[in-house]
Amino acid sequence: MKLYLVQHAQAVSKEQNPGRPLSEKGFADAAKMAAFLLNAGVLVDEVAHSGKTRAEETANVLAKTVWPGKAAVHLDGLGPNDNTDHLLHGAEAAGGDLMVVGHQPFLGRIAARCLTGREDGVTVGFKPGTIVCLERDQIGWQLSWMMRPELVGKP
Amino acid sequence: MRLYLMRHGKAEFGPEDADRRLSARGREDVSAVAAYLGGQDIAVSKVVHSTLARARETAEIVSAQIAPGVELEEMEGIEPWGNVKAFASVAETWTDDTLVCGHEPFMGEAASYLLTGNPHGGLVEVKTGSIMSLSRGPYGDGWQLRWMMGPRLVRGAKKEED
Repeated sequence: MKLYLVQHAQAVSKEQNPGRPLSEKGFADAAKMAAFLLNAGVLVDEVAHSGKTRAEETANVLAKTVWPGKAAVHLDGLGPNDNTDHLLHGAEAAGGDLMVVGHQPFLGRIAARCLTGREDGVTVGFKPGTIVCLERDQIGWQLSWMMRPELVGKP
Repeated sequence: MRLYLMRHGKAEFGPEDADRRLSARGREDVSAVAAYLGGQDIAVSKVVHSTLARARETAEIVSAQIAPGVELEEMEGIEPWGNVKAFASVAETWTDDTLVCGHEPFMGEAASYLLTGNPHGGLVEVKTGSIMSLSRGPYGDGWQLRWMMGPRLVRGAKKEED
């Protein structure tokens, strides 16, 4: 099974819009990452987001490619400071390939927990639009790949 | 400072392990990753490779894209069963962005040791032709993972159906 951890793409500031939707660059970066996933042949069994606008918008752009015909779903427990138990236990119980779009520091904590057993065991450098692919086998979770928008789709 | 840790591409079999060259598929894979990196904003000013031919060949292909004109350096101690802690203590002294071409299990253990302090944590197994980027701040901050990719990811799924 695979777990794709995605930080929402760049959003506008609270001052510009308290709901913090994606910025123009954020939408462009999400589209670049979606095109990259399409080329790489990535498909998942579910795309979930935290419920915040910037995560939902990012998730919907990616879902068109990796979960065709479906709209990303809201999942509790993906907030910036939520406990990582809910997602980790849920993902391991469900067993399929799951993509979640959320926030820092949550994503860094769950990535570190999967990879080292401790939420501060490794620093995974999430930036807006970053995708980390973790794969679980008999031994446990391992890093499969990690990409960020600045490395993708430079025309 | 950025460190790029790469494993050699798939190699031919041969009687002498140190002399094994990249296979045609290995060269294709490494070239695909090199071409991808060459299209990005990446410049490396130091390139080291192990004493084994397949790592040197990999370094030659990748450095042509991201380190043009840089003289390759052969480094002992980063062979498949090299000493990860000895390597880390040398890497800590580097100030230039550096590409290191080596082997498994060494590369995965080196990455794991730099990032977590534990070489045997099972953090990552670096597949042939794959590369990861780590960075470290200027003020004694620890290492962090920036990205990781391999030939299957950059060549695309459609091209894998051969």
